[in-house]
Amino acid sequence: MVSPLPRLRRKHLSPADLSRTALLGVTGRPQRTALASLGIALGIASLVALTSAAASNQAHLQAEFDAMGANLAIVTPARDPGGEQVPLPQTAPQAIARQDHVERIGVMETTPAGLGVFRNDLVPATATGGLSVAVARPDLLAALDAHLAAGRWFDDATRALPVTVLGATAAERLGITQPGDLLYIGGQWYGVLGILADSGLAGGDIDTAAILGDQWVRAAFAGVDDIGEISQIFVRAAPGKIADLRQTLASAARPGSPQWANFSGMGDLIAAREMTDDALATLGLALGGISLVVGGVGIANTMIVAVMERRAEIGVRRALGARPGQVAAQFVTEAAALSVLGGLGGLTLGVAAAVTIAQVSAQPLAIPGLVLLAGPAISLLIGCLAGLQPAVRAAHVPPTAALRAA
Amino acid sequence: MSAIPVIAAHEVSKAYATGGVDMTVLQPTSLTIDPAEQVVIVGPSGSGKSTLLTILGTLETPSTGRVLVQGREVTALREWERSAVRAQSIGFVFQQFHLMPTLTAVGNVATGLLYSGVSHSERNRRAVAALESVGLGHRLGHRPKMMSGGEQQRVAIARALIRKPAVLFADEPTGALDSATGEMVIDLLAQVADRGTAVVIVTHDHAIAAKFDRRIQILDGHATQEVGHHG
Repeated sequence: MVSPLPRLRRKHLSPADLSRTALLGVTGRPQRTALASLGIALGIASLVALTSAAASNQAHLQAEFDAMGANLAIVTPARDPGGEQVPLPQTAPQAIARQDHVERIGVMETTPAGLGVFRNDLVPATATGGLSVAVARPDLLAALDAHLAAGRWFDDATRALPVTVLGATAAERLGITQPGDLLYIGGQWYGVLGILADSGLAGGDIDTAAILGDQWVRAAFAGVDDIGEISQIFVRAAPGKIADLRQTLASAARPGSPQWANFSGMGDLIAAREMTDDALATLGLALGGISLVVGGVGIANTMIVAVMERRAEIGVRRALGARPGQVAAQFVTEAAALSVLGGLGGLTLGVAAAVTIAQVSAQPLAIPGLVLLAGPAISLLIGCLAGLQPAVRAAHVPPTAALRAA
Repeated sequence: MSAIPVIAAHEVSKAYATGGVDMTVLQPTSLTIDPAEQVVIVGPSGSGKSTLLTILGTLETPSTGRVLVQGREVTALREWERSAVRAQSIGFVFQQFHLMPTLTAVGNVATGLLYSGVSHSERNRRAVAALESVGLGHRLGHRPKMMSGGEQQRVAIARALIRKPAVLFADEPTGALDSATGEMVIDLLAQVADRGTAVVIVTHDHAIAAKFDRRIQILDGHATQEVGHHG
């Protein structure tokens, strides 16, 4: 007579039903939602904004250095342990010029010691005015990407004559604006052949120098120690190839003993700036991290309050047949939704900030793609963690709560 | 089949330990409720009538005794199984309605099937039918705030009825309503029983209790049953 009882089955909430139920709590109280997700939003925003600013800064720097001479390296002779300079072989320039990715080179030669640059022969020999003398081969101008403000540069004829080309600063200090004037250098009169434009960072000391032709110096100072030796080789490489050339260039300059060739370039400067940018990105991570933790605590707090306020709702759901686990899932999902909402808001805010920063500082906009993916993922994780404890509380609310709550 | 009572309680009691002293709020009570029966549990506040309702409705486990729902002993079940029994066989109506303020009438009623494994569209379809059956076919898209107390309680009744429970428990269903509206709600609950669902109403109001043939009086945790006549 007694019919067997039907088996009890666990009915599951579909993901759609779960998110629909959880979103009720999120959309039902917009003000609470906004406040609860604010911390996460700020965290993600600072993460995105600062890492983007660092990336923009980096991109800007690259562009600036490429224009200015990031692809410029300088090979110089090294000193031996006794402090004596070990000269580069005369074949070094040609050897370097043959290397892949080397676009052009320029050579400077050793300067005779004790040369002062004066307006005339009445100026005391000690008043050098901070000016120096350099000795260049004609290829130097192109290698430096330097330009003439007036006059001409050395050619095959003038490199053997007592003429000089002045750096921009040197010309200014000497009060020379036109070629054709005479200068008194090392007890000898020189005609001013040309005046260089400001060379910027790439040219280094060239701005304060009076440049003499290599063949003239070799003839006039014949027999003097070191004259005619190579002091610097400027190497202009294809963009971004300088670092790779470090070993190649030293070997090419001094086959068999590359340790006797020094190599320097803008790379060191770039490395320094990269450290600054890394510091900026680290600051972004730290600020973002702190905000995210605070944001997570904010969400946990909001959810705990929500559980207390919504005991009746939870009781009703339990009375309608919700299992403790389903109630817990609802609250975890709600916390996750709050957090992801904050995360998306923060992403928008952060991108807007990055765009503004890039525009104001006139830098190219660069937003690391990883941050765009990581933002929402991190906020999802934080939301789930923040929701755990409140969800466990919610699951413990007894079904009778619906009766007792007013 | 109809011989099996929807609810059978054997010597159920409830005691709480407060400050080391056992406080018995419900003395051992036995009763059965048959399909489509109308029962009222009446007593002053604090008498233990709500406790009896929560025990019979599987919301709470008794300290002693057994409860069977449609022949299944629920006091021996695990938590998820009791939830399943509620989802399948039992409906509740509360004094404060407890509707979700952000949901429409249809949404609220559909929640009655949320934990029963019924699809979203089917839930909404049945919610419309349930609202029409309580005379709220014109209020489908309204939110609780836009409805009167009586209408809200009818939405709550529709939410309880949507899964066609074997028994419906109503805890002071007229407590938040004026007397005329309350009477309407009681009439509606009486109709529910006529359609085959047993109805158990808890009230402190003897005027309401007098409308029902079967009354369970509770005083200080002692239940006495009487079968009276329509008053």
